[in-house]
Formats: sequence, structure tokens, C-alpha cells
Amino acid sequence: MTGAPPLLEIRGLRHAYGDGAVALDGVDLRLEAGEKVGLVGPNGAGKSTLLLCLVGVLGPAGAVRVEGLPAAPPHLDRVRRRVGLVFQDPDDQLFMPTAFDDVAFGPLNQGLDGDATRARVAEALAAVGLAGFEDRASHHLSGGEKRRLAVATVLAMRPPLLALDEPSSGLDARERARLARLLVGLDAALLLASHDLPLVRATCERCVVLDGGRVVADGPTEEVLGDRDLRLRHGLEAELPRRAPRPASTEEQP
Amino acid sequence: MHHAYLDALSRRRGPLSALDPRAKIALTLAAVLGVAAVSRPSALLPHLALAALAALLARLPPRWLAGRLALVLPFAAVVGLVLPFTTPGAALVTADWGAFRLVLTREGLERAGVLTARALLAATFALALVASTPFPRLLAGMRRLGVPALLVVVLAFLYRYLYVLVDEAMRVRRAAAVRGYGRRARLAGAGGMLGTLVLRSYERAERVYLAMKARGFDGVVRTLDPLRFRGRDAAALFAGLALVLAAVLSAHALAGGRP
Ligand SMILES: Nc1ncnc2c1ncn2[C@@H]1O[C@H](COP(=O)(O)OP(=O)(O)OP(=O)(O)O)[C@@H](O)[C@H]1O
Ligand SMILES: [Mg+2]
Repeated sequence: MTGAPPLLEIRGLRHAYGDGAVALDGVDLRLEAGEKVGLVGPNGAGKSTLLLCLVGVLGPAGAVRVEGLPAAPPHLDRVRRRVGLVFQDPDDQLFMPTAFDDVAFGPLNQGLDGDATRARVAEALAAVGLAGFEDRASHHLSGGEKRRLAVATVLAMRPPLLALDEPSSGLDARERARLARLLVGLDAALLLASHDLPLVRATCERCVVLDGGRVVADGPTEEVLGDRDLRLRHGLEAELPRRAPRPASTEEQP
Repeated sequence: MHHAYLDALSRRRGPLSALDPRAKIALTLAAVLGVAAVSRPSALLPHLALAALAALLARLPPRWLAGRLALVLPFAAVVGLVLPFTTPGAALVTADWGAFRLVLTREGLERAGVLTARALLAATFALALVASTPFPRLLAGMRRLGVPALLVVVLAFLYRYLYVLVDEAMRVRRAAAVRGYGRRARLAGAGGMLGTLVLRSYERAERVYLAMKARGFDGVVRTLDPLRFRGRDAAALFAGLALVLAAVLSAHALAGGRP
């Protein structure tokens, strides 16, 4: 062990929303640089809430540390530049008039000059398969295109930790595969909240299961997701009904 | 849901679409100022020709143009209804109810007509600008021409989130309708729906602000300028200004030396 603090350290994180609903009930989690971790769990488990705590929007001060810095004032700005958070709803993420302006927003704020920014934008758009979309207005994009553009806006900033909330929802099979390849090839650490277990299996070596605001499993992905009992217990798998055979028609089948 | 309402036309190619927005904004301003100086009906003609040329170059579909101009008319009408009776001059019709006299004057009618025409012509120039320039480029042009940054940013957000807001309103209304929300409960429920919409917008604004902070927002919205002012733009600007000047001068001559 070196003395350097871990990339992400969460200790005893609790959060209750205003109406009293306890969304996170004592979460502990550590991520090292470059580590790729899947965050799975049933609806309402607290995954989105946890991601929002990473950038200090929610949650008590001091429970979350990024590279040793607490995600609370006066370190918030520095923490937020290290965590590339992609929201569950792309309309929250895309706020500029054109795709180019949106992707360029982060790099320009990091102080990059025009040429370096243009290069970053081109690279990020190509990485999500949106090369040539520079001049498009985000409200004229399809749902899946918006989601990919949202990912590009944080990719362009090259943060050491990427926190993605359901990035594959609404993507077609080809784009989902492209996203998986992109995530696998990434040098940055990844916290991937998703219901898409195959995507988690393909991209994350470690998997954390959240349920009722607590971590109920944490280990190598194959081990955790390979446990059928655990999958059934925490809503990761459930039997679908079988379609009843068609009622016999009046005509005789040959 | 997609609304191509605001910028449906501006993405088409036309003679004006490649022109630098700064040149177009300057020309529009010059043309509108030229029209504003008109006060006699005979001086309208050259400006009418100029507006027709602008509409043609911007490829404004006639029906679309007529629809937009019809929106301007009510505003002009308010003034147009009052002026004929309040301007002193040669009486055309006089209505007399003892203490209350209404006099319709020739000068009054003329002024009302000129005022309405001026409004319609100015609107045509503005529409030609908007219909030939994608909104983001218009914003970039305004920024470079020294329009206050805050105003440009507010317009940019308006452009971006107007669609989301309209979508959200439609969603709330549709969700209610689908669940058999009848006409009787309409008034009582409208307040609640409006509340939902306000709350959603408020929470969205918080999340958007957060997304901006997460990407390093420090109070200044930075963009890279996509604009290049080329020789072609300068040539078009000068040609356009010459046309506006010609219109103003010939209008002056037509009106017999009076403005
Ligand atoms: N803004 C809010 N106000 C009040 N309660 C909330 C709010 N957002 C979430 N909750 C509640 O907090 C709990 C955790 O929600 P969260 O969004 O973190 O779940 P999630 O794991 O992301 O679920 P999903 O898989 O459906 O996205 C839920 O019980 C939810 O109802
Ligand atoms: Mg969620």
C-alpha cells in the first residue's frame, strides 16, 4: 500500500430525501484509480442517489472523498472536475444550443484553447458514434443520440472517474456494443449504475449490489452476478410468464 | 416529441444561409431603421421593393410569411384604430353626439396606414434574418456584435429549454387525458397540473445547474466562435447597405423632399 488516498472513498453514507424516504442507509465503497465497477440493484435501491452524492449535491459532508478531498465545500469544484457524472435524464445534461457547444463546454472551462478543444470535441463525438453532429441542436436528436451525446460531454473532460447512470437505456444493439467497447477501452475508473447486466459483465471486473440503500454484495462480477439466489433476491432476475398457447382454432390443423 | 417550429426554415440552404450572421444582423438593423424613417405613403414603395427582395433571397415561403405577418397585425391595429380619429386634419367623416364628437381625418387615415405598413415591412426584414440563420449562429453573431453576454446566454437557454418545457407540459396534459381526466375536473385540476409543471421545471433547473457545475461552470459560459468574416461577407454587407441607402434616398425623392 502506498500512502496515496484511493480515488473514491465512501464511508457510512446515509441520505434521506425531504419526505423522509431513506434512500441510502450506510454505504461503504472504495474505488482505486482505473477500477471499473458495476452498480446494480432493483428500482429505488438508491443507485442514482449514490451517484449524486459523489458530486456533493446530496448527502452529508465528509462521507464521500475523491482523491482524499471531501465532496463538500470548499472542495466541491475540484471534486466535480474529477468525477464525470452522466445523469439518468439527458435533458439535464445537455444545456447548450448545439452538440459542439455542449461537448466543448467542459474543456473550455478547464482552460483549453480553441484547437485543443476542437480536437477533444471531435474525439469525444467520434467515440460515441456522433461524428458530424457538431451543428445539431440537442432537442432535435433522438433519445439514444441524446444519451450518447451526454456521455461525450464528460468524456471530453477526461476525468479520472466516470459515473454513468443507465447509459445503455434506449440504445440500439449496435450502439450499446459501441458503448461497451468504449468503456472497456477507457483508462479512467468507472462506476456504472445499470440494469443492463450483460453490459456490466462486459465492462466491469467488480460489481456492487445495492438494495434498500445498503450494499448487499461486493466482489468480482462473475462471482456476484453468477449467484442465482442473490440475483433473484435483489430483483436482478425474475421469471417472465410464459405466453399461453393460442386457444385452439376451430379449424383443424393439418 | 420534436418541435421544429422555431428553426424549421433556418436549416435550409439559400443564397443568404452561408452569409456571416453579423453581416445579416447589421443589414436587418439598417433596413428596419430605414423603414422607421418613413412617414408618407409614397415613400413606402422603395422599402416595399427592398422587403420583397429580402423575402425572396431568404426564400420565405409566401404562406409562412403571411401567417407570421398576420401575427403582427393585431398590434398595429390597436394604433391603427385610434390614430385616424386623433390626428388633426381635413375631416372626412364627422359623428356628432352633442358633447362627444368623433372626427375621422384624412391625415389620420394616412398615418395609420403608414404605421401598419412600417410594422409589416420591419417584421419581414426580421423574418428574413431568422429564417436564413440557425439560432445558434444568430446567438454567436449577437455575442460578437457586443450584445451583453448575459442576454445571449438567457436566449440560448430559452432556445434549448423551451422545447423541454413544451414537451413537459404536453406530457403532463396527455398523461392526465389518458387517465380519463374529464372535462368537469378540468378547472380544479388545471391548478394542480400547473403546479406539477412548475415543480418539474424548478427541479430540472437545479439539475441543469448541477450538470453545469460538474463541468466546471464558474459563472461564465464559454463557447468557441464558429464565425469567420470573409471577403464575401464584407461584399454582401456593402452591397446590402448600398441598397438600403438607395431605398432611403429614393423614398425621400418620392415623398417630395419630405421624410
Ligand atoms: N427527489 C426525490 N425526492 C424524494 N424521494 C426520492 C427522490 N429521488 C429518489 N427518491 C427515493 O429514493 C429512493 C432511491 O431512489 P434512486 O433514484 O436512487 O433509485 P435507483 O436505484 O436509481 O432506481 P432506478 O433503478 O429506478 O433508477 C427511492 O425510494 C425513491 O423513491
Ligand atoms: Mg436511477
